[in-house]
Amino acid sequence: MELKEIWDSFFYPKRVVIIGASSSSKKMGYHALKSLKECGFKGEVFVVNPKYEELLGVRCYPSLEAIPGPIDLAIMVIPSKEVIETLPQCGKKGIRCVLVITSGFSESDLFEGKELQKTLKKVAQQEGIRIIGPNTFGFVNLDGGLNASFTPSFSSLRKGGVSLLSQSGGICHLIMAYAMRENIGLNKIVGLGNRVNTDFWDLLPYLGLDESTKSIALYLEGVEEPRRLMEAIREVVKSKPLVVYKSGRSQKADEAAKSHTGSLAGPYRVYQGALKQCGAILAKDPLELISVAEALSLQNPPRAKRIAVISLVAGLGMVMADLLEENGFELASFSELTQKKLFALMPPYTIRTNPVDLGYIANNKELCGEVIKTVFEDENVDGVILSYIYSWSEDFLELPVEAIIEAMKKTEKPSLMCLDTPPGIWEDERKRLKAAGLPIFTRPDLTVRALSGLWEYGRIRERNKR
Amino acid sequence: MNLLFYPEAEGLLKEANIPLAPGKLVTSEKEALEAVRQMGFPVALKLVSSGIIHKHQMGVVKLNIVNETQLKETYKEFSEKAKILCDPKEKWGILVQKMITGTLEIALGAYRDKSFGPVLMLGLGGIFVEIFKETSFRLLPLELEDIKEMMEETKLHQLLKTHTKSPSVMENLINIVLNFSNLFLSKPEIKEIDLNPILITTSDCFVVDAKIFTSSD
Repeated sequence: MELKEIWDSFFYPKRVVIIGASSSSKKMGYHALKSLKECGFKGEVFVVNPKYEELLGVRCYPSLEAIPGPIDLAIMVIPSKEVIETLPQCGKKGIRCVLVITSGFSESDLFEGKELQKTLKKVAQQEGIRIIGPNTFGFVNLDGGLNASFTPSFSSLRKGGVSLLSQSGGICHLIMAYAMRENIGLNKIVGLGNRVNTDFWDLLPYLGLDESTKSIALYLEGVEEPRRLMEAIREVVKSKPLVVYKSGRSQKADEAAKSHTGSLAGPYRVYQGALKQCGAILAKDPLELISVAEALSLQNPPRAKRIAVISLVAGLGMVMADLLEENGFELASFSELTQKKLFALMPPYTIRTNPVDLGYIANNKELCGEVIKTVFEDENVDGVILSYIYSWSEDFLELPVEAIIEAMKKTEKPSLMCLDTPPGIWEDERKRLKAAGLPIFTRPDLTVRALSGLWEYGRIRERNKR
Repeated sequence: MNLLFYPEAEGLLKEANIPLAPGKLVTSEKEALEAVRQMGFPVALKLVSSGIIHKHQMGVVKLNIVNETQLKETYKEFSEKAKILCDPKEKWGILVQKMITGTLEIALGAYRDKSFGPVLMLGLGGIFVEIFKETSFRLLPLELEDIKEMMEETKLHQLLKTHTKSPSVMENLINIVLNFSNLFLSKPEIKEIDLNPILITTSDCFVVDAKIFTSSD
């Protein structure tokens, strides 16, 4: 497939050139080079800049032509007019993939900017070049150790299964910071910018085929050809789950979207209906978007809506019970066998029905583990929420990590954890649980919302089978 | 856009198997009395013309007419209003409609969006539409499953369950939506349709007011 080759050389290039890298930390070109240098990229990096011999230890060439051998990906951080002049040189060099970070195209208020974008599109077509951008922070592929953006921090994200396509770079940065705190695993992150010839529908089929992408998150403002987007989504959800946050719920935001990336944002309500119709899961804000996508990249949909809550403190169990009911779930009634086991395992001064309260046995890791396993095995339970909160002190209270992992391995049922601790506590436990595929969120509402996302995906899959 | 005159709109809906509340378009008091003799009181009277889009705002809808005196009075009032409100070139008439009392009002519409193409809307109608905004949109064509999801989203599903005795009401409404979307897709000359309200009685549903707009050329 020709398409796959093109996107592979964007995301897994062997030889990358930055055109316009700079020595001044006040310029984007400096940061783009820094990102690429520090991300652990295994391929070769070149710089085109006639003014320097070398930058950040990378040899500079006076022109593209002067670089020996082929180039897979060019990153442009030069003024908008120069971008257009340089494109034919890329074509001549056999470069098919170009990232244009530069702004000042259709998003600009100036007539000139809109004209420049038209020219860019035309020249790209003549040269047979795919462009991501212009007017973007770039893109990141944590699976291939590539940070093609002006923000070096993206490289510190944990590698995982969520790929994000975004119509706004700002939203990618917002999600980046949140994902770092929550240890959410990302795979590919693309700021689509002005979408001169790479739009959602160009990348979605690739993400559908990409084995390291387990779920897809979209941040959408509005597109010129919504039906094309819907068709692409309808296709891709046949192979993996997709979550969308569409902005523009308010009148103001709808207007702002029009000027933001120079696109026409359509009426929010129609987008909402159309997205549901083609099998997307809708999120209400960017954090919900990435939280739901994270759960979908790790866990299965529940068979039915009977959920067990295992909580370290009774209060948090109640919070979960409230949230579950609000989101259309029910608290599972344990089977007789489970009930008997729990009564035998736990002392009478603790809650031994759903939501289970581990409070009085919290310092007994083995016993907690037994309770957790018993609940997981109950046939009346379709999914489990573990609600842990740090209390007492670390040396007294331990997380039953092994028991949770063991219980998860034995079942197809989804499990999610809500866990909050003071900074620096239970970091290792958190990492081990994450590595075993347990989604962990600090906020109870996002934990339950993530479970809802899993349920919705189950329904979408059923509908697609029919 | 042109608003279709009642007989044409009625014809299109009938052809598409969408049930309209029983009614007769008349142009004289004598015809009005004759129509009522056939359908019986109570009735509703409406002045209809291609030039009148918002009948309620124009004060040309009278509900629950129970006797001949009221009928004659209203007929006289509306026919005088017609002379002021309607262009002499426009056809007009007075619609005598069997008065239907429903427990629930539903709105069903479709239009052609510049970028989305044909779009369908289903939701709560009548006065509640403004307050609760319980409306749902889908692109056309749609599937049975989409209609069911729309009904869940807008709480129509729950409302129909509690307000009607017969399960066939839900089926009838689903059929109306399906027939409606087929009608809209098969006639590109129709730019917009608005069925509001569709009245839900305890055992059936009827379209009480329909606006069909076609392209001007």
